[in-house]
Amino acid sequence: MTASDKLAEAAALKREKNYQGAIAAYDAALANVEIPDEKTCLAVAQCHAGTGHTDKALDWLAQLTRGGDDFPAWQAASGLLRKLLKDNPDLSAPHAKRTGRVWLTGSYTLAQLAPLLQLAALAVNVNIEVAVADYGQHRQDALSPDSQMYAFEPDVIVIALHHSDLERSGSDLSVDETVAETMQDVSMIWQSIRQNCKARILCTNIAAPLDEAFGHLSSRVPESRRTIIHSVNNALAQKANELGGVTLVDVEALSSQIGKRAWFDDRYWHLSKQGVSFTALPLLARHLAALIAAEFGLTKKCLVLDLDNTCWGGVIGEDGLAGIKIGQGDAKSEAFLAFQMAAKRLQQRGVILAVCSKNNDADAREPFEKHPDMVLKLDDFAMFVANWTNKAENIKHIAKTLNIGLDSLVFADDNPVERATVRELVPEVDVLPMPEDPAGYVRVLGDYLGFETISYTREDANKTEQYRAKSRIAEMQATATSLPDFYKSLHMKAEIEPFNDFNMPRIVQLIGKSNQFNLTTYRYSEADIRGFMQQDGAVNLTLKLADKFTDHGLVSMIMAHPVEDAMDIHLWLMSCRVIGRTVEDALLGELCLQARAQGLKKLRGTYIPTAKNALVEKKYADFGFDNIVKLDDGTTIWEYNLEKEGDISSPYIAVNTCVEA
Amino acid sequence: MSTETRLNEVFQTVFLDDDLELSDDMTAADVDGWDSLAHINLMFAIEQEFGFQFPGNELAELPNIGALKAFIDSKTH
Repeated sequence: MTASDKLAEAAALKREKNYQGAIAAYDAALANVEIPDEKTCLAVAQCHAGTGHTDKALDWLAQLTRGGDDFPAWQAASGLLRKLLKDNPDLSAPHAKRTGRVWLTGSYTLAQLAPLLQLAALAVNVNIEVAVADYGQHRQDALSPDSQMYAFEPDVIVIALHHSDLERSGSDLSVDETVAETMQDVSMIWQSIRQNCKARILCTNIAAPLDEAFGHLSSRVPESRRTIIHSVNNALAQKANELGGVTLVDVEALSSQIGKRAWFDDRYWHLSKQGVSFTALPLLARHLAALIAAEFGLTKKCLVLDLDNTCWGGVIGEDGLAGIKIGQGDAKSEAFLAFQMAAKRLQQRGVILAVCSKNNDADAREPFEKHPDMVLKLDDFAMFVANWTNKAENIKHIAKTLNIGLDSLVFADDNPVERATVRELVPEVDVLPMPEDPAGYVRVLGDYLGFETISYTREDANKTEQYRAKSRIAEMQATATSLPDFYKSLHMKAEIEPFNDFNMPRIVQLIGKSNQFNLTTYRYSEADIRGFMQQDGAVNLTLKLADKFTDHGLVSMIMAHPVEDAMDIHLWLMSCRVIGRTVEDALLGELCLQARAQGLKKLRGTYIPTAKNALVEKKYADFGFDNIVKLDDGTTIWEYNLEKEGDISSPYIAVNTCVEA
Repeated sequence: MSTETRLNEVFQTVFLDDDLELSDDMTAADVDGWDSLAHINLMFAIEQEFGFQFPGNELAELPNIGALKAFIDSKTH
């Protein structure tokens, strides 16, 4: 029986409502299919829903978003999702690592996008409730503090702009005036939202339409439509940088990616103000979901690469250094070179690279050391694991050594068996569907959205070095005679300074993603943080750490304010890459000094347990705090008596404090 | 597959109802959930399935499913 016969048989069983039988038939038909198409995924999800297996149905709905962008299939799938959520309102991980409320508003109809966005978000582990405003409502909603939008208490507000915003009929404004007026309008909306609520803002730029009266002249003519839209988009980017807390969704790039003929559909625009065609809506939904996941701190951190036939053509252990295909000269070699360059660009942007290869270690390293055409060098990898252990185990080892969650790894391997094994044994890891032809590798990596991030800081560019230092340190630690000697030998230096405009992007980023060393896991927005900075007596400190191997950058922060006679710590977190270095002693020590300077008698701290922060459950106890409250949900409150107890300091870190007295 | 079967599947997908069976004298009022939002989704799904485009809002002018089937046949044969 052919695969399509098997699928037809499964579909027939489903029509008869023999869901058990249909599931078995689908399983058999799809046994060798890596990414089933979206319509098939929908059918399998419906069968699982029919047998009451919600989790399985959700898995298949998530899978559907990777199978293709057919709008009717997505629309039906999002309908099924809403039904399942209605019957099972309390989703658990992995489908709901984060939950949130999203308000959609803008210059065109978003009613069709809303359910699709919920589906796309589920596929990246965020369970969102979406509400949608009538089109054109965003100004009123933003400006009036008692609008439905604010009453909804959104975590994220998505604003969709459209080129028709620039073309109000009867307007005879100059080009500069058009840009200025549009920017005034948009920044008023952004700023009102910031003043009235804590939601993060996701705002699209403007996709330039197809028709352009000036044709090829347009880029040279200031008043051409394309030039005006280009100017507005640049101004939006600049304003977003100035204001902070706004994430831009680059729909101009998205519309070019899918093609503007596909992105715009004039019939549906005139019929019901669809600013984006249904053909393109699933793509837009996936991108918005990726940015929402990034807002919630779920950006993937590390790309794990296989070597043979992934980074070069051929098998190094058999073909030898001269036999592998990499570099200029033939199509295969150039395709692998292009893939290495794409990985390198990600690495330079702050994605960590690691090697996971079935090879002898020396063989695997040889091309990096000796082949002249390799773009990737050993220094580009935070970890290099080449051995004969199975890849699932090696991937777990990589996550553990780098001290990052398995769910922040992405795996690329040309071998479908390895991919299937990793999917099966470490389902937390995203596995890229590498095609047979290496010429397609770059596109698969480019289409993958898990690395989308909402900010870029100096710390990101330096990340591989920091993680590499970490694995070197792990080696050194293994040979050092004692831990204190080892820490002393690192010559650590810390700089403590208050929150300011320069470190704000990194502060927002750390608050969004720190999980392990995070006492309360409050995901404050930039607006929240700036609010706390205004409070009387508030002490909000950051700590930068450097050692003889590397500059770790801003790795820890603490936020506290006086409540009666105590300095109350409501947020205290540290990047997991410097855990164990006594950074917490240095920062808490500075807080002690400042609390004493304000004449306070106690430090008070709260620990709120989450799935990931058991590491710091006893942190306050370790510093000699007394437990004063214990709540049913595991939350504990602690106090440190500044009059009885001494100062706190790190025995290994030289601290330089840049805090105004 | 006949126009009837294909159209029936389109309706089942758009209205997420495996039990939905079309008949010629059915109108929008007979189908649960056929509101203005579903109307646009349905129009797009029919266009995708049969590979033609409704001129303007022709779909809304068709009195019942029988007329819709005849219209589709006139566009695809």
